[in-house]
Amino acid sequence: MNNKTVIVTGGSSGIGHSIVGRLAEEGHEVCFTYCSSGRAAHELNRCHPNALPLQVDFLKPASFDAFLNKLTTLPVPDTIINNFGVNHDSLFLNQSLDDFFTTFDQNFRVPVAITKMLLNGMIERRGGNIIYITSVAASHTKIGNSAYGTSKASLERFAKSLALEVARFGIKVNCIAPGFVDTPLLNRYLESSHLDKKTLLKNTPFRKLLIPDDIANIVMSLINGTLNTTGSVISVGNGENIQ
Amino acid sequence: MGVNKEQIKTIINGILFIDDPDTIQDETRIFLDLSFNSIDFIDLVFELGSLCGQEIKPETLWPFPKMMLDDQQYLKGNWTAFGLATIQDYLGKPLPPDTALKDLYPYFTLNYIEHVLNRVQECV
Repeated sequence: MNNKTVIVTGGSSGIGHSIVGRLAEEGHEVCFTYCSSGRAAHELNRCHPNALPLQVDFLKPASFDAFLNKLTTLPVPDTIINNFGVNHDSLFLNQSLDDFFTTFDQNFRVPVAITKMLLNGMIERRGGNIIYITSVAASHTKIGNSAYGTSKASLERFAKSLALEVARFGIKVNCIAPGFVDTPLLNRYLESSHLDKKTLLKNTPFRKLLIPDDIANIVMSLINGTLNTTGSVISVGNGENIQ
Repeated sequence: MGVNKEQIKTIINGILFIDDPDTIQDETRIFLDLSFNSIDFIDLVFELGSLCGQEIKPETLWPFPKMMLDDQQYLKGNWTAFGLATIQDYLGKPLPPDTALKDLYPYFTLNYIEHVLNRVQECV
């Protein structure tokens, strides 16, 4: 079996949890990060001993630095899945610059820094997959999502540049841009925006939400090569993603 | 393990899809005559590292862009005495203080690469 070593950020809930579970079920060696969902992370590890949890708070520089240093002690991964992200919708008009850039840094600087830390090893090995989970918000503007949308759009732009630079070394770089996925992150967004799920469904053409497994399926296709592409932004949705 | 010019030439031929073994001579200006770009350069660095059995950094093979960020070596558009001494050490000849980076590109040749790799002592 072609077992791979995979790093997944934000692996204890939602899309990340689904990705970690699928990877582990298929026999890959997974290292995933979690912040406060320790119970979920260790439950994942209990079910899949080949899924190793690493606690890190990307908001705290010391914790993030320790994590980056830890990465240098691990085997060079075959695949990096940058799934971690935060979403605090807020009118830019009312928002402090600190809040704006906290969201931006979490969603953009963190995956870029992780990529930088691991890239040389992948180049030396002449192969690998780097996947960024972005969002429909990168291309669909709405009032209140300037920080989140900008960070995801920046990540997509960065991924394309990176794809060009590392193609020579056999490394594929792609983004998966989900629409609305039924996850705790979506629930927090709905709550903070005073929206309800029923209204969301009514306004989604297919009248359905994605589930985390829908995203995990695409990740698996990229990893096992059934979807062979680089520099792509794979837009996934139930119609809410259509421009 | 030392690295010789034939090995270096083989790597560059592979990177640039060059079939004619006589295309690259000892003093062929690799950046200028072969349109060797920055990705090709990184590719070369990693290949040379594999050949030498040790990591070689891009700035080890071609230190001048990084030197230009160091006030000790390059200041206000001119190389300092220290910078000029380093350049002479790498290129084997003295150059004027106002030498621009583009003026150094012609020196990136097979002879230069072999000379630099021999400086990386573990490669000798």
